[in-house]
Amino acid sequence: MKKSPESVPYKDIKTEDMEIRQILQDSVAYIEAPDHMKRRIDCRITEILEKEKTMKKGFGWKKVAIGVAAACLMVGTVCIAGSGIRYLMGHSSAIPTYTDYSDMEQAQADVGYQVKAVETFDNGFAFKDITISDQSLVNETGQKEESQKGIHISYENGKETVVLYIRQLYQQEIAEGNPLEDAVMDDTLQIGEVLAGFRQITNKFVPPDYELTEEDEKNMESPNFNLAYGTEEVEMDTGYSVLWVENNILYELYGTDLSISGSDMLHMAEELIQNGN
Amino acid sequence: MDEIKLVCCMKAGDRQAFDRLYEAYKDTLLRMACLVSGSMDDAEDIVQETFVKCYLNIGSLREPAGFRSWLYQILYRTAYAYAKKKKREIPDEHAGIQADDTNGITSLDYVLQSETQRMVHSAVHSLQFKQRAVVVLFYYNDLPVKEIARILGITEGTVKSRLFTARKKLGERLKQLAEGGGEYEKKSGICSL
Repeated sequence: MKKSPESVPYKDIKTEDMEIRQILQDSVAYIEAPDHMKRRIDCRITEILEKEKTMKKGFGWKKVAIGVAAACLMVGTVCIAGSGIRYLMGHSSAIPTYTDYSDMEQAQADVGYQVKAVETFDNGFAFKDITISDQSLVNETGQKEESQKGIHISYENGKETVVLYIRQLYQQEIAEGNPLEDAVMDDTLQIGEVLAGFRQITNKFVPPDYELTEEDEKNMESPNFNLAYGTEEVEMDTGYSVLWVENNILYELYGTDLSISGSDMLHMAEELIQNGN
Repeated sequence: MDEIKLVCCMKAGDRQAFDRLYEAYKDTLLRMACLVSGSMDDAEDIVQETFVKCYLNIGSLREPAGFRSWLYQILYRTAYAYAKKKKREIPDEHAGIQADDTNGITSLDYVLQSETQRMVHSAVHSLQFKQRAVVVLFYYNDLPVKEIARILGITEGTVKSRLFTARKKLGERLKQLAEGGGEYEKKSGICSL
């Protein structure tokens, strides 16, 4: 008859346990982590954050918006030449700050700068609500270098939602020039002196212990594919985004799994730039 | 600053808190990974990936007091995925074949100080991954069965069962190695220090 594990009391083999324990502990006591290991870890973290940069700047707000109120989340990275990577941290309430378009004036007073917005777009997207967020530029040691408030205006057409995210450029970004000049875009539209760019990215969110497939590794070579760790299960979506900078204000119109085209979104940007007030 | 405060700071985005937690755990994790993987090179990769996941996913840790178990859990999941990826997990009845394939030497052999230590490592590495994980957490980390169960996501009964089987196999394997120890030394070309 097979003995169950519990039929062997631990105390009967305690001496043997102690010996094995001692030998195992002694056998690796000499091993110490080499200095290069931390450097490799730091490089890998920076590399992943850089990889997420495109997605986070464009589509990260979805994760922020559905997060717990006042949760602190990183929403992007900014490269400042000669001074390393900076991270954009943002947090807000999950509850909209304003739900009436007439509150736009108050929203602008809250953030301290004037922005362009419209109540409705020609393609049917109409104002839904406004959320004010707190944002910071954080350096690699976790120190806040600059802070500001951002505005997120949601528009709906009955089936889908797009969000207009607006913030000022940070002083360090202004010093570097327009941050969108070097960005990879799928399509662009010149609107007066403003250049708006459209990009589409497939986002794959995976659990911490997710093992990359060959297809993932191949996809990651594309600038239009983003892999981000942090969800409990594998989730995929497609992000659509139009970005432009006007008067040192960064605008981003974005949504996920939309049925409208990049060209449609660029024309929404055109409406905002030409008719917004 | 105690560990819980450091974890809270890290959750709030403090990179220095991560650096201090790294310093506190780097050697322990590397030693655990060495015992589980049987290779210094693999262990460094596993620990590197563990800390990267730790940094990127600290937001998912709900209770700062559970940081150690959470970190060990990441290490074991990473090591398991690594073992699967590298196809190094082989049935224990074929352990001897693996030793032949590598002439019985792994890079870890070079840092092991005695024949006894090498024999124990060889015996531990001949166990299946799941048994090996329990053995390392129980013997090396000296953790209670309850915490091992939490880390590995299994019941306490399963921990005890795996421990029982592992002890039995370890005993048999150590006996075999002790009987053929001289041959092992000769074959690997390593002399006891």
